[in-house]
Amino acid sequence: MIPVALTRPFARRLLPLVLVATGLFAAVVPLTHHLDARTRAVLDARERGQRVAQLLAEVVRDRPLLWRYDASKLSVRLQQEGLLGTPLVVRDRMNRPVPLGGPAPEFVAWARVPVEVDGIPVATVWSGAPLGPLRTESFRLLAGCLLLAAVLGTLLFLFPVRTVARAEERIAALLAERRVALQDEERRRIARELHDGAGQALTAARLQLLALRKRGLAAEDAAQVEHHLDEALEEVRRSTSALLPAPLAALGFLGAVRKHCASYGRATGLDISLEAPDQLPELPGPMAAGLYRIVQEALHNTVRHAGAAHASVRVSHLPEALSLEFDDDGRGFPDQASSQSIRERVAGLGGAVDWPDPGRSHLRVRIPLGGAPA
Amino acid sequence: MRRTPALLLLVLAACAGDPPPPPPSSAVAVLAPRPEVLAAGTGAMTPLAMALAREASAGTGQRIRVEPSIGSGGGIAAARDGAVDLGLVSRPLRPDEAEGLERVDLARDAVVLAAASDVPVDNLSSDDVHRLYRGELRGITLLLRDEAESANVALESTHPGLADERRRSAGSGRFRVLDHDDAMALALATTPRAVGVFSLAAVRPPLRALRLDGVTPSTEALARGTWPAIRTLGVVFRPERRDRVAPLLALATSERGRAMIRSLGYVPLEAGR
Repeated sequence: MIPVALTRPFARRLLPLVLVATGLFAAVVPLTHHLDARTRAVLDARERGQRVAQLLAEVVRDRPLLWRYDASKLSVRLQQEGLLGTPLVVRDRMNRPVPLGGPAPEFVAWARVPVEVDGIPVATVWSGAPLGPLRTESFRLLAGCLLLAAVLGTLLFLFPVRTVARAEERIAALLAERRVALQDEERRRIARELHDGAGQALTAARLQLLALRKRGLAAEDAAQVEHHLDEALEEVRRSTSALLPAPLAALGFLGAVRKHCASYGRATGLDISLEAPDQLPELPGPMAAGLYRIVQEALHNTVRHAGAAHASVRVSHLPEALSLEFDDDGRGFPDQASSQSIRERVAGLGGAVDWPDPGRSHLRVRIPLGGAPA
Repeated sequence: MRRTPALLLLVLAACAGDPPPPPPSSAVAVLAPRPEVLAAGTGAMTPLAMALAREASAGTGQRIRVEPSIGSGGGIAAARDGAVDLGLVSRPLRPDEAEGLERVDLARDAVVLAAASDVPVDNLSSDDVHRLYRGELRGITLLLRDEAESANVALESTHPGLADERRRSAGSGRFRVLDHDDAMALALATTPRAVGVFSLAAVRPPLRALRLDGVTPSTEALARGTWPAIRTLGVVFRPERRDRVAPLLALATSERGRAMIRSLGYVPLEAGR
């Protein structure tokens, strides 16, 4: 698996954003509520203060000299008007208190309302908005918002991070797959180059030497040259074989196919049955590699497109040909494009693909053993 | 963006409110005397003070005006501030109120339970009074003065536990509170089957004073000491205003004044008591 470092940098970038966003949410909602409620409380207090000021103005008009000494009766009137339930302070124009009773002014926001009679200031009213209940309510809201922000923050952080982590795994898998494909491609190209270049040239040279030997070249010299050319050819074969997929080099075609069916079935949960002869004639390296890749691709298509639970692979040795047959119990391939890679490989090996029922995954591949391009 | 700080400041200013009230002024600024002599205070003494003022004005030519009730506490405070020359009081002064004032007691007043003619009883026992305060006497509406008023205090001082019962019944709608004597007289006259705490001197037909435990309220009973709910009526004044109030005080403590007091339904006291 190729390491793809996405999740950690993403999480490092996301975490402060989530903290700031949830912190703002947790702070702004209660603060806005508090400021709004406090503003309304002060406005209410001002409205009450204006009503008290109106009442006081009437009282002062009636008794301009002695109004402030009749506080008890003023108190009763204020109580009857429902204006003594909140803190209230009244001072005459010399800032002397007018005792009216009412709740003690603790933790209060004040609204100041002057009292005027015929344009002359006679007293000042301070109407209080009690903030204790509001503070309690705001703290409760803050606690609730903090809790909600913690939950939301966790979701906002974990959900994208998990999504990115899954994407990271997928990207790593795709990269690994692509790397293997590129390596195969590169190996095939090199093998083709060796085969078509050095291999062909050495073969031609060897044939030429044989002809020269028949025309009288000293047998020892020709044998010597022939020996060297054989060594070179062997070297090229070894090199091209080394570029083949590793299981092929170690186990041969049938062994590699058996191993792949077993491991791929374990990895994907696909039940794969393999039917193959005990032995096959020795296959040229590129042909073995191509056939091996066809098996891999067919099983991969089954998993990717067909959604099958069971797949079968049958390898048959026909006269002058090798047959590969694939089938499964899934819904088939969506279109021919999904088997394009198999068609290209088969064409490269000089074979043919038979897809008898386009609605199913049943494929038959036939590769001529003698006619494969060298 | 430029407006944001200004808007923020506006919001904060709106929700912050105004500065709190400054500390009250502690200096007592004594007001200058007015041309006429002013008297104000408890409504229990208003009829007596008005009668004395009329008589004193007629005798000396001095203009004396009696203001409508502002309560004993208001009278004391107004006299202390020099807003009035005479404060009319119907209760004892607290030490902090008495500072810088002189007091002259003039009369005793009987506090009674007054009733309109539609109240079907003439006599109430002490137990009846408690039941009345608890709202257990069906069909009768109780009318009281505000808590600190001297009539309430006088009646409740003679019936232990009555003040607690009144406090417990507050807010239950079992009684109404009237804030001055005129309002009490009007409420007694207009409320069906009403019984109210009132001054004996203020009881005029069709109102009548109910007997308590068989004792008929009267100036004689008051003088004999058989009527328990009493309050002392007096005046307070600043010493430097003594000359301004001297004619009225002289009349009130004279034989003629005492006769006037008696005729108004009070019991006169010896001067200076």
